[in-house]
Amino acid sequence: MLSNSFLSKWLPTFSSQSPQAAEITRINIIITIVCTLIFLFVTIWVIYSIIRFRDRGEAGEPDQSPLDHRLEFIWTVGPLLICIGLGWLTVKSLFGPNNGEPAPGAKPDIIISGAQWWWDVRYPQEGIITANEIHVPAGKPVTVQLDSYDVIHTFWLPDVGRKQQMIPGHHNTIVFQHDVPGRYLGACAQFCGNQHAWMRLLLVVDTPEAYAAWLAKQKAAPSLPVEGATSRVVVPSAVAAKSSPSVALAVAASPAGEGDLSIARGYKLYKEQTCGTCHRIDGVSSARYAPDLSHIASRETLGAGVVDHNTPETLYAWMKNPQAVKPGCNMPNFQFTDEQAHDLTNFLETLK
Amino acid sequence: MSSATTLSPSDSPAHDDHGHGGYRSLRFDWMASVDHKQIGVMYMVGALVFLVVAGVEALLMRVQLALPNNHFVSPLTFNQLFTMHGTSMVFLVGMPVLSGFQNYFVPLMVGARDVAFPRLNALAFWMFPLGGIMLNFSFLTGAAPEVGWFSYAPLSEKAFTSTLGPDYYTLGLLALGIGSVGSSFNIICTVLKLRAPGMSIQRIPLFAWMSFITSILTILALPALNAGLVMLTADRMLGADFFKASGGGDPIFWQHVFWVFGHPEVYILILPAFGMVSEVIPVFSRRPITGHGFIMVSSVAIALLGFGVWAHHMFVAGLGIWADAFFSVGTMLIAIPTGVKMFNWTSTMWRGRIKFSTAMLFCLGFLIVFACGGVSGVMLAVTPFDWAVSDSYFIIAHFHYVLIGGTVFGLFAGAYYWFPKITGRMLDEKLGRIHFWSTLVGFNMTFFVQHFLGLMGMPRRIYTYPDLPGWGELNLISTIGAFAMAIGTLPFVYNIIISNFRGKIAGDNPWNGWTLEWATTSPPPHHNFDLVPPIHGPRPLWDLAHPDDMDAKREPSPDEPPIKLHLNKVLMIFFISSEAMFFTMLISAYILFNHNPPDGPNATNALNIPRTWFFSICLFASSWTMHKAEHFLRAGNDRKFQGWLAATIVLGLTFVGGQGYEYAELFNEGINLGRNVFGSTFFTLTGFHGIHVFVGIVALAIFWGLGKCGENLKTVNRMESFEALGWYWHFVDVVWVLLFLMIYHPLGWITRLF
Repeated sequence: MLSNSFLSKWLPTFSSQSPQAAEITRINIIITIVCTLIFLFVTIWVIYSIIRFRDRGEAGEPDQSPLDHRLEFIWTVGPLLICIGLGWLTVKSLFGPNNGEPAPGAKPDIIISGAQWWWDVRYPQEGIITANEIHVPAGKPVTVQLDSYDVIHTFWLPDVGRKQQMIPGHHNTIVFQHDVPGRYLGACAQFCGNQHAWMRLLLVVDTPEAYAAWLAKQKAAPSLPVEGATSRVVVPSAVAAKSSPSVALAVAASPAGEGDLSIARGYKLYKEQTCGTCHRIDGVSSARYAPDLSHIASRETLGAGVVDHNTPETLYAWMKNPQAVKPGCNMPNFQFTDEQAHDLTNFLETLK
Repeated sequence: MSSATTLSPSDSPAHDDHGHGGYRSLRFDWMASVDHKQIGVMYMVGALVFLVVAGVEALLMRVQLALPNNHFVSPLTFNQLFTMHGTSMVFLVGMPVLSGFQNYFVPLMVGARDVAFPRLNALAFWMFPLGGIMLNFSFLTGAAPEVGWFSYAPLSEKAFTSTLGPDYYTLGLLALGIGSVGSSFNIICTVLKLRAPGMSIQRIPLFAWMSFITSILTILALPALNAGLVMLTADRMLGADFFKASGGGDPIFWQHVFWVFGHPEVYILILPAFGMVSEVIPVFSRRPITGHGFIMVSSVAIALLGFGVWAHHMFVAGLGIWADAFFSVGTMLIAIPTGVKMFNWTSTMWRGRIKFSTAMLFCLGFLIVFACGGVSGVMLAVTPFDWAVSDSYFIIAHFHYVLIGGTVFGLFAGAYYWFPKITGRMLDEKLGRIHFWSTLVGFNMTFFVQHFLGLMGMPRRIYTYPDLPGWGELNLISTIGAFAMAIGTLPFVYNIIISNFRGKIAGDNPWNGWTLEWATTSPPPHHNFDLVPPIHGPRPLWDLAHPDDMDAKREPSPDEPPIKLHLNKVLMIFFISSEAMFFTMLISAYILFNHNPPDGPNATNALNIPRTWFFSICLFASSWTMHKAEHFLRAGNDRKFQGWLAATIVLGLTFVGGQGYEYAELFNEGINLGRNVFGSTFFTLTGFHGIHVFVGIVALAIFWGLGKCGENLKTVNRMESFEALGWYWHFVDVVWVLLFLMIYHPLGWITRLF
């Protein structure tokens, strides 16, 4: 058999690093073998028949007597038995322990809501809100509730088992567990409009320690520049007070002070422009129509995967014109000047 | 009324000289034609045109997907391309070309002069260009449908797609759906009523039988889609709430409605191709098909099962483990009758003398490629596997293996087989071989790798994809294959055009075939047959050529008397079944959204029940007056007939008037389609019923007027028609009994009195 790592790397639908996926993989392997054999049988039979019974130019017509009807019945039994076998396999798996169904009455650990074209992620028991990236501890089952804010989306992380539609007005809940820390790519599988292609989801499976650290970081309120910090007089000390000592030092050395001014201007811009009408930053704005930005700088991707590395450069490009990065997305081009985009980028980069 | 008698040549209009006369000929020989053969050819030519359009759409998509992060087309354009590719291939290529073959060959194969209702046939045909042009016109407005051929709500709702795209889709598909149903009535009635003497059910050629089963599927499945389209249109244009979670509707309901249509649709597309393969393989193996009866019965089984498995398209919708298990096992059962067919085809070749004509090559390609699509279908029936690959490229690979490997290969086989009959000239075999091999290689190259793309996690319907290991390479292979396949189709198109003028003269029966279409000239005369040969078995021409080795000696089949029921009544039975399916979907919507009365106006607080009692009784009474009218028509009492008929019309009008009054009152109270989900379901359901009553009244009024003008209504045809109309009238009444009990809660009203 092919090694687990090979399958997981190339064919995530054949992953066995998660109990739910392993169960599906077990079924997949069995039916792939059975169906391949059936296909080969038919193919070989057809090829053998056409070679053996090809027209060799004999005169007249071949014997017309029909095939024995009993053969027909026997042939019917064959597919029937295969169907019974596969049916049994399916039903057993569906009602088996790793079918991905939640325990009755289980409270969701994570609530994921699909939206055009991003994922809203909440950890209700931890009070965390984030987007487009979910973190789970390795080796622990998580119960995930799947909703939708607008149209039908489908939650698909091939490495952790079943796919599940997210339907407005319905709550679908599944359970999954992944045993190997790492990063796993998922996507929306149900066509959901213009940017369906870039509605990708990142699953980060953490070691328990890393997971705890991530939780602590996400729970902490984002560090924000102080109100009115744009005035030259106030800035350095205010930012320095909130920053780590090394940063404070850097700020004190004069040219770098411009960086903090930029951050403060970006913060002001965030509040003055309409950013807060759609986005949430813990303690600043509470709208939920677009991805939460409280810890945006800690996330790996931008635009639900359209930018796979979230760096100041890519974030700047997004600020300049989101429509160029992700055409048709719901964030308009705000026509920021280079400086404004730069300031906003600097501000958002502080939201670790 | 079988039509197999000898006809004098003078019966045939000047059809034999068609082909010259320019525009006049186009106008009068073709556009005004009600001849099933000309209509069949027009279907095929139209489908070929749309095949080119939809094929170019596919190629544009493949160019966009050839490389990761490609920017050849915009996301919106890509979405329009795949929507129109899917919609066109199903409704503008697959169904019309199959309709074309059915129209052309079913009457010939059963030994009839034409289809049962030639004018209905022409009407049904002209719906096809209407719908096709309506759909494709959207490109010129820039608002081509962009939400997939399945148009899942709520994405297709106005709130999320405010362009006209989905409206072009719903209106175009309604036109096409009505046309398909009309054409199917004809095939059903032709096969049931117009068979040549001696052709009992068991002797019907398999292509004609598959067409018959397909037509039954069509008349039952398309109304489900039509009902869905009507509801979607109501949502989009009238503000109804059928599929809006916020308004009390349910997006999952669209999925149910769509797949109740969508799954039988798969069999509508594949069964006629099965029929073609079942005709071609025996002729080129020089053996009778194994298990003629088994194939017939297994098709019925497929049709029946096909209506019970729609939710296997919804395994990821969260219907619950029990539903998943049920639909999973049900789906697997379909593998049994399909497996039976595979056995029949392969074993037909056993002990045969196989001639590798292009038609036969396509059948052999069909057997292997379709087997691959078949087993991947069985894999998808296994719910856990479906969870893994649903909505991924694996699905695309699977259904192209079924629809190209099955339907298209079957169609190509049929085209090479029957082209000589249609045109009188042979297609070039050398070009045919080039066509076959390039199609086979190109097809497998395009789609086989897509199985792996799906397993690697590539979702469907994405305009581009990240540069993940292996994705770019496989997609590039797929794109190259698609171009190979497209280029491979060019020799076919060239072959058709050139052979039509310069091909070898075919003669009546170039392949030495055995079914009735080969008993007449190529192309057949307008009236099809001068003389239909005697029929003693499924292969009349074999029997004719080998009188001492007739099929009947080996496998006797019973001589059955033809069906007694009048043609018009046969049509009415199937028409009513089709309408019943339409109402079933609307009734389902009503029950689904009203069994718990919604907030605001609902059936318990908005309706005036005593008044409805009154006009309902009028409608119920009209069934009785209709019955009396029929009685007096038969008895020959014209005065009483006219009287009772007038009473029926007046009662019907009272009902419609009552309903109109009710609507006016509700509108005044601000209760309309857009008010809440009760309004949406109530007005749609009772409104369509009211339209049915009104149509019935118009038909009755025509009879009444004819009688008043002194027309003789006592001919067999008119009396039978009147009785068929009576069946329709009673059907509409029965529907109202259901609606009345369901909506107006008369029992609940009586309890509330005390």
